Amino acid sequence: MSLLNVENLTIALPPGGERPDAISGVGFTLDPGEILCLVGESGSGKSVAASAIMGLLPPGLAVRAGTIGFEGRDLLRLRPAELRALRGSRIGMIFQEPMTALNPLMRVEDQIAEVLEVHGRGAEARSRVTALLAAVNLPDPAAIARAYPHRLSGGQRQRVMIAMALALEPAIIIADEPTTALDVTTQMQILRLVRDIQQRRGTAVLFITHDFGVVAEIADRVAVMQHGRIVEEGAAGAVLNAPQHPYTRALIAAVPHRAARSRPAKERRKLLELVGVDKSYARGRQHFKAVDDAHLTIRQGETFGLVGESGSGKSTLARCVVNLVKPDGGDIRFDDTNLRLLSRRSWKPFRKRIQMVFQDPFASLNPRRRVGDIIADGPIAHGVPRAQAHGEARDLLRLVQLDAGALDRYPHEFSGGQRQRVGIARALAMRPELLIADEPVSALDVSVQAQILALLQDLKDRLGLTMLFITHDLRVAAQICDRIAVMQKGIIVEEGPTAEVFAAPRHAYTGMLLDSIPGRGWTPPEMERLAPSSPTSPANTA
Amino acid sequence: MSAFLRNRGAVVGLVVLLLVAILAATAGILFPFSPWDMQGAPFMRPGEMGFLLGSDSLGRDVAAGIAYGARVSLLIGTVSTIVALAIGVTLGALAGYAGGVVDDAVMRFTELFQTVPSFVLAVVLVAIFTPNLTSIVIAIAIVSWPPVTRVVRAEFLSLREREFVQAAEVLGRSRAAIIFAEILPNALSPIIVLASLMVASAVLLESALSFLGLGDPNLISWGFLIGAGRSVIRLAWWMSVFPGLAIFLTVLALNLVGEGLSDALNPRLARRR
Repeated sequence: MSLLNVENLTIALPPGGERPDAISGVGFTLDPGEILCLVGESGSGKSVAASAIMGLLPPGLAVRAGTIGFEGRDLLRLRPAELRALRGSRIGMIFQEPMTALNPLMRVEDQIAEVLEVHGRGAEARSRVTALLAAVNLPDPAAIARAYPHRLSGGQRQRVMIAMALALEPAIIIADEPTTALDVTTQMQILRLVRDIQQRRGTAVLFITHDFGVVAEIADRVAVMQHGRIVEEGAAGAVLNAPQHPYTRALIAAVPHRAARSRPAKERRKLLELVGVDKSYARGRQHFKAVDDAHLTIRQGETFGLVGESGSGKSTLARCVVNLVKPDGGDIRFDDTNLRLLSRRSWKPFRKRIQMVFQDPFASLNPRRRVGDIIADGPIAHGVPRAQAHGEARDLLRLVQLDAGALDRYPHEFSGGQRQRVGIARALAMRPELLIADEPVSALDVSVQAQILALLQDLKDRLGLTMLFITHDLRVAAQICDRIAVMQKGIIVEEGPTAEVFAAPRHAYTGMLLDSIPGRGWTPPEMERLAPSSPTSPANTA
Repeated sequence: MSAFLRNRGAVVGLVVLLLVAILAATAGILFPFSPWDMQGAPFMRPGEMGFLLGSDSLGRDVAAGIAYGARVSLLIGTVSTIVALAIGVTLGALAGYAGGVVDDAVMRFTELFQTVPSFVLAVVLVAIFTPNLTSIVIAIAIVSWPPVTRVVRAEFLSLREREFVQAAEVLGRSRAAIIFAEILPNALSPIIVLASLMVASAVLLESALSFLGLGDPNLISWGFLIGAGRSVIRLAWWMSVFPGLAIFLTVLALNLVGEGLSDALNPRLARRR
């Protein structure tokens, strides 16, 4: 008999939702010492399933049917006190956001000890804290125990969360997207830690994720969720390499393939050249160098990738190019004009030639303006007559595969992927030569991500754009970029053709980044790509 | 809108406010005479001699005074709020958008006004300029703009960093377009809520000024009525109580409307009720 037995679980959404049930007829089992990955895109109901097991369903979601059997009892029929006794002691949980999951006013040791005290094991609490911190591979556990959460990095905090989940040696750990908020190198460390703990202690892990790379890295078995149902379940190798259900196939096909390609553009003229660009911020009395002596050359017609983890300065560098951030020094030469020395007025002609696509499709469109106005604003600001600008907006919507009905609608009526298309149309309305894309797909689900990447690639080829593509995701960079530069702590540590950098990294940090790509040992099977569904169809509104 | 109408207090407030506005608009029809004219014997109790709310020490109709006073109160309340908004939004937008030295200068200037007790400043201002409609409006506006500046500045500071504002910057839109077309519409909700509460406090301020005899001598107002009735409150309670009730109801209504707007414009808070 399995450790955890979820059968026919159906949970209703509040009336008026996009579908009647958050999850319907979900069933799976979890055996001791096994890692089951629950995979799905946002809105698939994977987190609802995890919350139901923990008895942490948000108010408004009611269980309609089903059982959750655990150690011979049905978790859904337990009284709150009985459930509380199980939570933490027999079932541990790791949350997505390590930055907010810890109480900022409590020392780490007090928070871990609290778990033990609540379950009547307070006597041994103090002695076990350091052992637990050591067990999650934290350096200098004694010092960390006395620290407050704000002194720890995201990865360290997530380790503390794991230590808390492990404190009472639970039979099951439920991890809800535990690495999504972390950088790739930290993610890899946490994934290794989870694997290690599961092997050492025989704990069963229910691991919820949207990332097939992570699945390939960690899963024994996989269950794929779509619209609240499990559409495919099986051993990790089988699902990853020979997916059966069309949805799973579509998801796996959407994973960016690490087929680094290189189309050298050496003979082309230099479009953008950065020479010794510096930018530092005052942080208290210290100066923090966000960008340190950056040198780059981007040639016309190429896609140049700027890769790095959060805080590496890649976004700051991009913002220096478009003058959203004033660099402290260095030259930013665009077509032989030093942009850094220009006034706001003399910058204006260059606004037409350099455009930007932003990261967050929910923040980058003014919620109070219609899509048509948002797209037409730029040309109007540069003297294009209003009627003409609005007419062109219609054509641009078609170019980014949205229908013209979108013109009179407000951004909140669109899904993330559709909004990102609007953001791209806004940038293209200026007919730019250089398009800067700042993490344009990192806020999107993987299938939408693949559509947007394909759109960018297609537009670039058709319009002869030059693209500066900023990303933290090496698989995305490998798929789309001709050349890449790797940034670490404000410094460009390596630059070269994508294929060369991936095949033979010269800098140790690049090597570490490449090793940290989750599922790097797994090559997604070649599948016929599914035709991109029409962007306004309800399938995309997830 | 529907969120606003679901809030019962706000609807009551809106109805009361409408009644006051109708009273002000129809004062000339209901009481086709000057509120300053004697209409009968002095000190008539409410209901006597055709005086609905009694007469004052000179035989003037208290009800007519309240109706004509509603005009003055609402007029001064709204106009001074509009002037205060004009000053406050401009300075707040400037400080929040420009940042740096401009921000510092504007905020120190604002604090200068905030540290002076507002009522005392209003009294001094009206006393320096002779009391009339314009000087009262200006005095009230001058003491009530600082909170607007602070709110608008805070909104601008956070909105300025949003990606859609950066996108407008990258598109090369002018500063004015960015401030008025991109940022300000997104900062409107707190401004609207604040404005409704400012009208309430302006009505109170105006009443307090007229009570002290610093009102426009040619205009009858609620504060003046209370001030006039103050010395004979034991003899003729109605002279002070009814204008007082009028002030109370109007200010309460404005506050209810303000709270309703605040809930309706912050959907997350409203849903929690």
